[in-house]
Amino acid sequence: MRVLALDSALATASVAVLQEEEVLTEQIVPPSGNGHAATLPPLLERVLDEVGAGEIHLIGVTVGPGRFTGIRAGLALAYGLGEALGCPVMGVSVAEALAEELARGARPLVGRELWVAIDSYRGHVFLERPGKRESVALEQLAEPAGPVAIAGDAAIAVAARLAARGADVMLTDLRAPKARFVASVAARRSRGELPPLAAEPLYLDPPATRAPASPPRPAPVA
Amino acid sequence: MHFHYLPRAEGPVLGIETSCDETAAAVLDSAGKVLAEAVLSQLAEHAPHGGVVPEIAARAHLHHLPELVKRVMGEAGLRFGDLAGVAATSGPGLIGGLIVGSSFAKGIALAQKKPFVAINHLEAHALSPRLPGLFPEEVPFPYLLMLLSGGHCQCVAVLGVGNYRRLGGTLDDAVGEAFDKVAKLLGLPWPGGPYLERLAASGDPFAFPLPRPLLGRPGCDFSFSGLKTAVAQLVASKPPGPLARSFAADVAASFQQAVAEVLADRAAHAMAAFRAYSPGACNLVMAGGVAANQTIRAAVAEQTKALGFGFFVPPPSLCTDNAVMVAWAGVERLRLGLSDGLDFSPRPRWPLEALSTSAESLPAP
Repeated sequence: MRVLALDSALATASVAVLQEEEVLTEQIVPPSGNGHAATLPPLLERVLDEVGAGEIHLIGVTVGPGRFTGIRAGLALAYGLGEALGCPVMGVSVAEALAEELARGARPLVGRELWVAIDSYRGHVFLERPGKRESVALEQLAEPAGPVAIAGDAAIAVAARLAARGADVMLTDLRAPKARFVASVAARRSRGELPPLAAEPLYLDPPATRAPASPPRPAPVA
Repeated sequence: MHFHYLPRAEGPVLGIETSCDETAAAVLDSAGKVLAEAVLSQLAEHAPHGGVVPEIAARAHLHHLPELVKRVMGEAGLRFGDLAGVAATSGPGLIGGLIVGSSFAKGIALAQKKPFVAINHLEAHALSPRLPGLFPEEVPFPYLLMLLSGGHCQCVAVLGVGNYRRLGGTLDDAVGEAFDKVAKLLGLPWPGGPYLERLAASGDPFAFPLPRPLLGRPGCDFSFSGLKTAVAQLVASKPPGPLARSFAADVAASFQQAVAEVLADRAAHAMAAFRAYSPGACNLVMAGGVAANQTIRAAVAEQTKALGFGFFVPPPSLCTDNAVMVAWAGVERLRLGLSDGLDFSPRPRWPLEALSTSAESLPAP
């Protein structure tokens, strides 16, 4: 099975094509002034030219937690590709992609829970840990039940907080997902090896709204 | 300014509109015939907030767009491979929605190796009167466009596809925005334009002497914030709680009358400026949601008659946000061989003049 994967949940974006266990291609876009909506599509075009658009069986895409704008750019692109290619789109969470990378790495985690912390840029972090996804202030982080490993772009701040409280914390060097691991999680999900996850953004926060300055006047009466 | 119409990419065009709070998709054939269209209003989701909330809009666009596109493609009886191109509004507007619409369009375009057309929302409005079959006779270039909506308020000389001169525009609020704000002051639901018009029907348009900003001034700029403030002061003199219906109706009618007089005056100035620039020009097109207001329409129509201009108003479904006009702008651009790169970055601000292909400057009015 050939899987196309894209990730644009955080500052760095990437695209990859995976054929079974083999990475056919992987392209990484470093953070730039142009948003993912401008940089990702031409990259995808190059990748599809390289491997052939008709050969794709499945599309994997990160659904967050992360930056809403980037997540939507990636998902909208994936939806359009999926519709036009007639292939399914699978959602992959940032923590699933990072866990996959750890599991396949030289030093897999043993006996540690993986906590993935993403900066919300709104004064708190998105925390994804086994069985739970939440938006939480640094001051209100839960107490880990046992040893933990921390990844994600807010990993340093979260690890420091937990360590200061005396928790058994290991700081990993994983800050952002890579598309090749998004692809392998998507493939596993399509084989039913992982619980289902909708290909929709994991917002974790309600939309930012502003309350009206004064209560509205009621409708006129006769 | 002449274009050679070389039919490059024959075939239907898919249009996508997500620049504000309407999710819309449409498919037109290469002659401009509407094969299928759908508009999904997010009104109910924004109404509790008394206005469009950008993040709510962006979420709703992403949630609804794929199904909507599937639906219009199904109704048109087409597969994506049958398309000549995919056109999506890519500015100006709320960036969250623009990213969703343009990214989805790019996904289809690159999967099928079809051209992607980044449509300027204002250009889509500007070209909408050219949609075949809309009026008994075709509206030829050049014509004068008055675009009057909740987000836009400007007079534009439409010289050709991609060729526009802004003659004037609002210095503060858009006219539709002023309608919505005044409606809110009166206790009417959002968006208030249509409610205000209905209430005004039972009021006295000369009950209150409201200001007519910029009336009689040279040029065709607009200003509505002072008028809105005058209404706010009028209403603030009443105690909190519901207004008496007769009072509210008089305020609504007086406000509407002031706006209509100002717009008619600005239209006259715009026609004079346009005619000085383009002597043979003789048509005015009014578009945008506010064009649906009958009092305003009548006031501007009278001016066009007095100055010997033809007066065209596209039907309401084409005046408010829709994807038919986006697909049509796509058809017009593809006919000229114009399409955009997949690296096109959606633009929250994107003035019409930035599109222009030939830079003749308009003499000062």
